[in-house]
Amino acid sequence: MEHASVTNHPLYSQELPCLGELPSEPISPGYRKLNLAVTAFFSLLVFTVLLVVAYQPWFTLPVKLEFSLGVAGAITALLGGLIFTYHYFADRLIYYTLREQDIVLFKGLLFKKVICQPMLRIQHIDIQRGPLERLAGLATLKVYSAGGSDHTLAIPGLPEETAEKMRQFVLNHSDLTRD
Amino acid sequence: MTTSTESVQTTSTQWQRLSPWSVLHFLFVQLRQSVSFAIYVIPAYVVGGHKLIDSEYFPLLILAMGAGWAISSVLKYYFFQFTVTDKGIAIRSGVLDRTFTDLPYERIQNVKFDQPFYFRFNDLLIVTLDTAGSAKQEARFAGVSSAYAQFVKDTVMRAHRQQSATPAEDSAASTTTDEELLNERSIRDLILHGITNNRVWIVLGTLAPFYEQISGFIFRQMNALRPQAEAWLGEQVVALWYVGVMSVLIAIVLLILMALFSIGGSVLMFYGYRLTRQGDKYIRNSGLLNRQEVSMKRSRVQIARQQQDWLDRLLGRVNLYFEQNVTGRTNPNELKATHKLLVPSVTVVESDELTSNVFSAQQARHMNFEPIHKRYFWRQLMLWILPLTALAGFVSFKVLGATGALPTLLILGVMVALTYLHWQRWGIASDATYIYVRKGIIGIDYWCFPLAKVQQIEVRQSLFMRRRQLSTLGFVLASGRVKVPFVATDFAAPLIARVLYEVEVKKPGWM
Repeated sequence: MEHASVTNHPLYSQELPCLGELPSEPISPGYRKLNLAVTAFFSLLVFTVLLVVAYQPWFTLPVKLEFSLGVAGAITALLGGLIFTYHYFADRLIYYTLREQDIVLFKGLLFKKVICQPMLRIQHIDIQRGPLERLAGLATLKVYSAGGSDHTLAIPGLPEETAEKMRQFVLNHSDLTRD
Repeated sequence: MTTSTESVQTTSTQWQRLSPWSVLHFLFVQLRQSVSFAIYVIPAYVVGGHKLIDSEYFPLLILAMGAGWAISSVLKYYFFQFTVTDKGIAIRSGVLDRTFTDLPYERIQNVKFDQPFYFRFNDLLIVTLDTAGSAKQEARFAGVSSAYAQFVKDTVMRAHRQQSATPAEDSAASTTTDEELLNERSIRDLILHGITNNRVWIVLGTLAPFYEQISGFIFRQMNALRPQAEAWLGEQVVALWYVGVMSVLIAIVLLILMALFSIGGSVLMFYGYRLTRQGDKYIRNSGLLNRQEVSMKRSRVQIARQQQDWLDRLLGRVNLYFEQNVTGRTNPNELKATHKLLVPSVTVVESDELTSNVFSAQQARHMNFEPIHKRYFWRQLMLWILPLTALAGFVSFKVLGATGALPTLLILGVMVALTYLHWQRWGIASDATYIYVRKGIIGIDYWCFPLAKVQQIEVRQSLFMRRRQLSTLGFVLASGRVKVPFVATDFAAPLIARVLYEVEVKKPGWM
C-alpha cells in the first residue's frame, strides 16, 4: 500500500482553492480558429442555399414558402451568430494541466467547470481525430474512468504531437499498470 | 443434473453439457418469444387466415409447431457445451449460429443465480456470469444443480482471490463459508414496501416486450368501436356530471389497482427476502416465482443510499441501496439489475446497522451537515419558480379572470415551500473516510461513500457563484455521480484536496 516514492507536490498545499489556481496551459489556438471557420462556413453555406432558392430566376415560389424561407434564413443567421460568438469567447478559456498524479481540465464561459481525473482511476485513454481536426492537425484526448461514458474527460484541440505525448505519458504512468 | 455434479470434483477441461432439464428452459424462452409473435399472428388468422388454412388442419399446425419447438430445444440443449478450466469458463452454443464465449475469471464481475418457476420442482438454477464489458457478453447456463452452481461460483471467487494479491484482510474471513444472516423481510414488510414504493413498473416492466402490441391492439379496438360509441352517445342524452363521476370512479379504481399491483410486485420480487453475509460477500435471495440470488463483494460497494420518501418517513421505514459499478449498459429493470442491492423497507435502526456492516464506522445519521448556501433557494426561485408561476398566472387569468389569482397563489406557495424544504435538507459532511450527503424534501435520504472510491471530481461555478465563493461539487463514482450544489468554497476546497490525497497518494483500489 505505502509508496514512499510518490510525490505530488501542489496537491496538499494551500494554493488549492477548488483547483482554480493551478498553473495550466491553453489548448491550441487552432481549435478556436477551426470552430469559428467551421461555424462561419456552414452558416454561410445554408444561408447561400436559402438565398439561391429564394431568388433563382426559373420559377416563382408560393408566398408561404417564401415566408418560411425568410424564417429559416433568420434562424440560421441567429444560430450561426450565437455559436460563433460562443466559440469566440469560450474556446479561449479551455486550459489543462497534466500533473504527476492527475489530469485537470478547465473550461466554461458562464459556467466555469474544473474536472480532475486521477491517473489511478483511468481505465483507458484514446485519441480521437475527426476529418476536420485532422485537417487542422489537431486531436482530442479522451480519458475514460469507471465513472461511465458520461464522465469521460475530453481535452479537445490539442496539437497531434502533444496529444500523442500525453497519451504515452499516461500509458507509461505506474498507476495504470496497477491492479 | 447428475452428470454435471459428478465432474465437480475433477475440474476437468472436458466439455460438458447442462442438465437435460435445461430443455425446459429453452422451451420456455421460445414460448415467450412466440407469445409476442402470436399477438400478430392470431388476429391475422382471425381476419383472413382461416380462409387460407382449413380449420381441420389447425390442430395439426399446433402440433407441428410444438414439435418444432421441442426439437429445437433439444438441439439447443445438445449443442450447449461448457467447460470450467483453471483459467476461465468457455461456452459453445447455438445450433446453426455457433458462438464461442471465452470468459477468463478476471473478467467475471459477478455470479448470479436465478430460479425460474419451471426449475423449482427439481431445484435447478440459471447461473449468469456478469462481465465488466457490455451486457451482451454475459454468459448463462440454464439448468445446473445448485451444488454445481455453487461450485462455479466458488471457483470464480477463488480465482479472484488468487489474482488480487491482497492477502491481508479478507482472505481469512472469506475462506470460512459460514453464512451470517443479516436481514429477513416478512410479508408485512413487503406489503408496506409495496404501498410506499410504487412498484407498478415492475409488473409493467415484465410486460415491456409486449407494449407495442398491446397499445396497438387497444388503439385498433378503440378505432373500431368509435363509430358505435359516437352513435350511442349521441342517441342518449349523457349529462356532463355523469361523465365526470364516472371518470373519477375510474381514476379511483385505477389507483387501487395500481396499489394492488405495486404490492403484488413487491411480494413477487422480494418474497422470502434474505440478506446474508458470507465472508466478504453479501448475498440477497428473494422471489416468489423466480428465485433470484444476487451477490455483491463488499469491496465493490461504491455507495450506500438510505432512502426515505415522505410515506416511508410516516411509517418509519427506509429503503437501503448498495450500489456497485454500472459500467456497460445500465439495466433499468430492477429484476435483472445486479449492480444494486436493495434491502426493502427496513427500519431506521436496521438500515443504520446494515450500512455500518458495509462501511464500518460510518456516521451518516450522526453527522453535522454543512448546509448548502441559501442562494440555491434564491436561484431556483428566480430561474424556475417565478417564470413558471408567471406563465401559470397568465394562463389562469385568461381562463378564469380575477379568480385566477387563487390557483396561481396556490401553485406559487406549494412550489416555494417544497423548494425551501429541499434547500434546507440538502447538505454535505465528511469524516476521515467517508463523505455523506443528506437530501430530500419531506423525506430524508442519507448517502454515504468512501473518499477512496472517487473516480473523478468535477467543480462547477457560475460567475455569480464565483463571486460568492460557492461551487457545485460532483463526485463521480463507479456507480454514478453524486452532485452537491452551492457548497461554500471554504468547505469544498479542503475536501477536494483530501479526496485527491486519499486517492492519488494512498492509491486504494475501487473494486
